[in-house]
Amino acid sequence: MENKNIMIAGVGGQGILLAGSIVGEVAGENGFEVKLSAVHGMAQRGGSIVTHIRYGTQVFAPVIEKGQADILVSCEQLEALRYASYLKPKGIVIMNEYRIFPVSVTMGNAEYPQDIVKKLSETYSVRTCEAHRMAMEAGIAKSDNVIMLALLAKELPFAKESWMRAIRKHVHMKNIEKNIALFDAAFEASLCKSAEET
Amino acid sequence: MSETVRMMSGNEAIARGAYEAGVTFSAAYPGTPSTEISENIVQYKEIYCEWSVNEKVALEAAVGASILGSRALVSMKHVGLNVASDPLYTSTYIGANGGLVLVVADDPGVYSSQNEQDTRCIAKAAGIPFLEPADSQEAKDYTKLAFVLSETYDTPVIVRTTARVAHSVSKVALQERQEVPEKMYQKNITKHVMIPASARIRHKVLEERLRQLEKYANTIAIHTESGTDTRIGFLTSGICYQYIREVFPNAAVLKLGMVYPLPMETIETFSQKVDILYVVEELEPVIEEQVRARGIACHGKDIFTRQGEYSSAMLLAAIQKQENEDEIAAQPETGDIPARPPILCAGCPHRSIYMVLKKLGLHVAGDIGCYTLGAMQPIGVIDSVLCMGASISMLHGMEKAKGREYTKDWVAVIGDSTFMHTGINALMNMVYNRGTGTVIIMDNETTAMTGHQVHAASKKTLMGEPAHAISIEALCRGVGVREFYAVDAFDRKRLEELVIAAKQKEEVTVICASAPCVLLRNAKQKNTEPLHILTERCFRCGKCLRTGCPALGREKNRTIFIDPASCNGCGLCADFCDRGAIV
Repeated sequence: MENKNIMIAGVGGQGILLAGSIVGEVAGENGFEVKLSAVHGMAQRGGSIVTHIRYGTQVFAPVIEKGQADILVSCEQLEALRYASYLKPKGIVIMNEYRIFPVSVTMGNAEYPQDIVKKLSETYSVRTCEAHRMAMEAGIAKSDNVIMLALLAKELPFAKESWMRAIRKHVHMKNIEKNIALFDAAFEASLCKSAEET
Repeated sequence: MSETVRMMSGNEAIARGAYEAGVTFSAAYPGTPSTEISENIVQYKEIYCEWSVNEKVALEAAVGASILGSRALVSMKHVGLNVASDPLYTSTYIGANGGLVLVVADDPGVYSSQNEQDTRCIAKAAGIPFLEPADSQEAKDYTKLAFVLSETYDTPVIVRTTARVAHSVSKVALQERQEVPEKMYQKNITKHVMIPASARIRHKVLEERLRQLEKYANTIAIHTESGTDTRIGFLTSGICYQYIREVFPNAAVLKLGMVYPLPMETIETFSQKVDILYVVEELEPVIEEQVRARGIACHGKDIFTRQGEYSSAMLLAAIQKQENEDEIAAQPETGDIPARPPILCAGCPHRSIYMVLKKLGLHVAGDIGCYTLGAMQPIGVIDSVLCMGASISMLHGMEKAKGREYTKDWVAVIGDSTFMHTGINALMNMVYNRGTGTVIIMDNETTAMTGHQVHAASKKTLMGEPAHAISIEALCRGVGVREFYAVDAFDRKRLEELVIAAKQKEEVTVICASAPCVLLRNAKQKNTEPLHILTERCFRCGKCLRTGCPALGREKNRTIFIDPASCNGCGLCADFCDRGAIV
């Protein structure tokens, strides 16, 4: 089989690397060779971050090239736009509607692009959701990534239980149960709006 | 032998390799992309591991451990190796009793460093054999092999990684820890005391050793050949191997595990099999130059770059000598995408300090850490950054060269960990050599940028034991600083007074502006309530935005807002507001 290539993007502090580890764990548990790539260091300081997950029968390079990704999950709108060129034609974008303004925008030196969904829909299959609002309503700060993971999980052929096990293994927090419940709810619900509807 | 398979980053795998190899001593200083090695070694109770104050001390400590018979590991980033240069070059003369392995992580593409140097050149200059793993399994295996080589050939050995190998995650098969029989110390003046008489002898020993290793290199099992299509052949090592296999799946590839010394006979045999030979290595033509010197025709830096991280696509493009655009999907018309570089966190004490320095219109000699981000707009207050500890040295040099009057608007800033690393030496120099500069220690009580490690002024060691925490004040006063002032980093009024007063003083002034890193603070205590904007008072002047705090934003209709999820309640923006609109 051809390798499956998934990218998860967002802003430093959103738990992007953790999400990538979980996807890698699930793919590995299901018998695939997996390689993950992300560069640590400064991303927590609010910088752009993206993690690459590749899985298949044999994986060499741990990085995904432009035009190769099957799915791009983004926890923030601008980052979805930034990494979209890594997608295959008609690739899938699963995007959190949350916006975090870069300092250049706040300072008035740049504009936060408008109509990101519309732009991306011209080339890709775009699904959006209000993961940030849901996370705030659930009372678990910074758990947008859990919801986005659930939406990704719906696109992949792995059992929900596999995901739950991976989350328990990688998430070491006192409110792990709330996160698991949030994942479960997001997995079972129909949360995404596809671009046609927006 | 029980085996399990685990997904690990290259760094985790190296730590595991140290454990399996029977290592009992590890010393390091944090540095991306090597930091996680020590952070993972600490889980293995059999290994003493420490954050040393700097890489020179770490390597020296490891040489001590090795001489007495223990297997010792030192890890650092490429610029950290520069700090350890002095012990490095003479350690080859001393050799290794217990195996001595240095893991050095380079940063092609410069993700988070000051330069893009190639450690392999240094290893070669020092006469140190080195191994280059291409994934996590090799990272573990080569670390273990390095200890065997070190003891067999009586030499330090380098395991050289790059950020991509260090941080990529792939599967690793685990094995049991090998308990190494204890070696004893034997006095040997010629071998351990590098006076000229010893050094003349030991240099010859080094050269003979390298000749032996050259022979061995041709027999070592870690070079692999793959691929049947000999129309095109690749000679490579490290991560580039993966990129080649990705885009040239059938091409003949000779992948080297040990790159110095090179297995010349193996390379010659391979080169004769292929129609055209490409030497693929990031950064310097270390392999290529030796191959060419041997008279073997090849391509290398004539078509590949000496800078930047490589990729499958880039290799393909360079070799096919074409732009790859036709193979990439037609991209949407995206317009300009604003950059999102790393910035100081919301509530960071460094931002508070920088706002004072900016208000005073000062020039700032900067240093390395989170606070280097003060160079970014809209703060933009840093004038220079060279290497660890250099802010103080440079300020001193500036003053002595151009005079006190010329440098009266300059200050040096340095972090607490950087100060303990090498800043202290520079401060001693400034005091002794009659400097009068102002040094601001930006003390956030941690080594932040690399992931919040403890350091010499912290209350705990890496292993979690109570530390003999060194007092920054006592240290400064101990080297003769009389004008030392401690201030809260958020007490901007007092900080401003101190900086203005310091300019008048005819001796060194150290201002230690302290407040814990906001991320650490948040981990320990309930977050401070976020601030919010009273819209009826807000003038929308945007003065608050000039702090560059990422918790602040502006809507299209120019309304300013504070993101409650990001705000850490430090109150800096409120200070900037003339209308009392932020509470």
